[in-house]
Amino acid sequence: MKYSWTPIEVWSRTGAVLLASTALYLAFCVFCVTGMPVGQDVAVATGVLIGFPVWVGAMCYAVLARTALRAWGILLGIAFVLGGCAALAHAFL
Amino acid sequence: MPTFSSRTYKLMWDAHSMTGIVIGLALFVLFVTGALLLFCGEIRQWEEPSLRASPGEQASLKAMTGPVLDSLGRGDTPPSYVYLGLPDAGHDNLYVYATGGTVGASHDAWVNPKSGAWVANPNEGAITQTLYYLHFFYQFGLWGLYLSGVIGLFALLAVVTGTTVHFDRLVKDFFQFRPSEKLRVAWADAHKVLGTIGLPFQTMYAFTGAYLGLVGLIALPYASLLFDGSMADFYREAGYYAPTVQVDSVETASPTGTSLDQLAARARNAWPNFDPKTMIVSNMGEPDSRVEVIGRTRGSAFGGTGSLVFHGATGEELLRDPPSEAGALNQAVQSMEVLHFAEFGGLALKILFFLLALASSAVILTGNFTWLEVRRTQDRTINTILARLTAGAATGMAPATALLFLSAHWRPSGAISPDGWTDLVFFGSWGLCVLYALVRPNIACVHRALLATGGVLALLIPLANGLATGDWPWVAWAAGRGAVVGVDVGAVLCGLALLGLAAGLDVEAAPPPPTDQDRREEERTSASGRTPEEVLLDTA
Repeated sequence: MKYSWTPIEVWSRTGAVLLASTALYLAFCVFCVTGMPVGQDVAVATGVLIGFPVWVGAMCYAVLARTALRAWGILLGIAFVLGGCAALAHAFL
Repeated sequence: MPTFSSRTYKLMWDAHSMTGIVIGLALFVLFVTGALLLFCGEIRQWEEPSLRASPGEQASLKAMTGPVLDSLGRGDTPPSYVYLGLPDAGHDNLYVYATGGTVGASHDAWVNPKSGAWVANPNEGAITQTLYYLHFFYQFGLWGLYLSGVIGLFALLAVVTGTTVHFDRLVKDFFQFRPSEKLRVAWADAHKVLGTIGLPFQTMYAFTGAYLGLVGLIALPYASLLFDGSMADFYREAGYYAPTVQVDSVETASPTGTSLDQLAARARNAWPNFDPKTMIVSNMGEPDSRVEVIGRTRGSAFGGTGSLVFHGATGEELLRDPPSEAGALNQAVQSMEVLHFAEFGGLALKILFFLLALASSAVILTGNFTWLEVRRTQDRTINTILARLTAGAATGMAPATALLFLSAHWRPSGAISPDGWTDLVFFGSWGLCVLYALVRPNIACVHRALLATGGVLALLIPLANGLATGDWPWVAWAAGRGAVVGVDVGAVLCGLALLGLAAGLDVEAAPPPPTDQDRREEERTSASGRTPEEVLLDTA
């Protein structure tokens, strides 16, 4: 390993890579189909095609974030914002 | 070119190496089986003599499907649902899937389009089926499929992180291969050169593989939010099936214009260059029967499917959905399918993809070898296990796959079912290879022994075919059975390549076990804060 990892950092970052990035991906998919001002077809296609880059990008961020806590916080924060926007759009649009 | 901070670089490097180590061997299996499955139609003809192409006109769909459905059905009632995968370019076979009605549980079969001969598809076993299932670990059921999708996703992560750490040296590394240098430099060079050559290919396959493996899960939110939880509607929107249409029941069937052949011909003429791929018959033989014909525009890599729906009893055209007006999801998903299955560039593209898939497998192995070589002085159990598993599982796949092919023509009669026999031979021999790698002291010798065994066994493949079926390569060539010749020649080339690799492997020159002096050197570099990778990079 090139970076000096502590065991806690390894497990918490791995958790962020696996779980927090997945939460962000799901929130992005839901946002695409409920919050994007495009047709249903384009929304699902966007979710399918852009979803994976978003997922992998979130994984990379989880590795690169200054601390594991920050990785969890930022990724879940964005997921909550996207999910909230999706819920609002679903309720009012 | 952007430059990354030292911290970013180190973290990306670690993410790349750890991802590669964790998924490497599974990804290797996916790439090797995928490479072989590019020629699954040809391999199926090779293993099933009755499916081999023979001279003559293609039989009608009625003649091809009739005996299969008659055999599956009981009494006069046909199955209620029939799916047909139409043959391609005169070489492929017709695929028939039937379920419902008197047929009961699902059955499928492959039919020779010229002779009409057919074979029931085994659930497991047989070469193509075993390789096909192994390609997405379907031996473990749906969880295996999802696992293959997750591996595809992490392969995408490995590609992104690997490209990032090499980004500013991409051009330089591409032209740098030094096999005469130290082993770890040679492995690292090979890893980077092959990785750069195959970068677009690996990216495409990681992406489309992740989609195909995980589609059952990633479609769930879309299905629940947009399609009332119906996955079938998601797949319909994605172009796998024709749109839903109301089919009225009729009193009497039309005497003309409703045969499958006539409906296929009408679909073929519906749009320029339209190539029907599948036909689906629902409620077959009933007054409200419906026939869907789904296809693509011939020769195009990107684009969606088009479909026509006919009334099965009257032949009336109920719906017409041209490929040029396919929706965004249909286009996105079907383009991924065409790219993943290499359905757009003919034989030349399949051969190119086959070579790139082998190169990608080599990228994975050289990555493992580099990791192991820079840690050679570290006496860690995990590294020893990884080295032995790499030899047993990856190199051991060569003799196991060759034996799988041989088992199709050399099987004992009676004692065991054909499906069980091929499974036993393939997984049994593969397991023995892993066991052999785990117990032998010299890993380089294990690689050489397995490569040589795989090479010799691969050279026997045309012999087995010739002796069992009489279709020697020159006989098959004269009869125009290119698929059989192709598999035989491919096996010989692979066998020679494996023997060449075995001969080129200098076991004597393999690095000796670490000495005390090596360990002192390792401790000295560690004490100066230099990791094995930094030592490697300095050397490179």
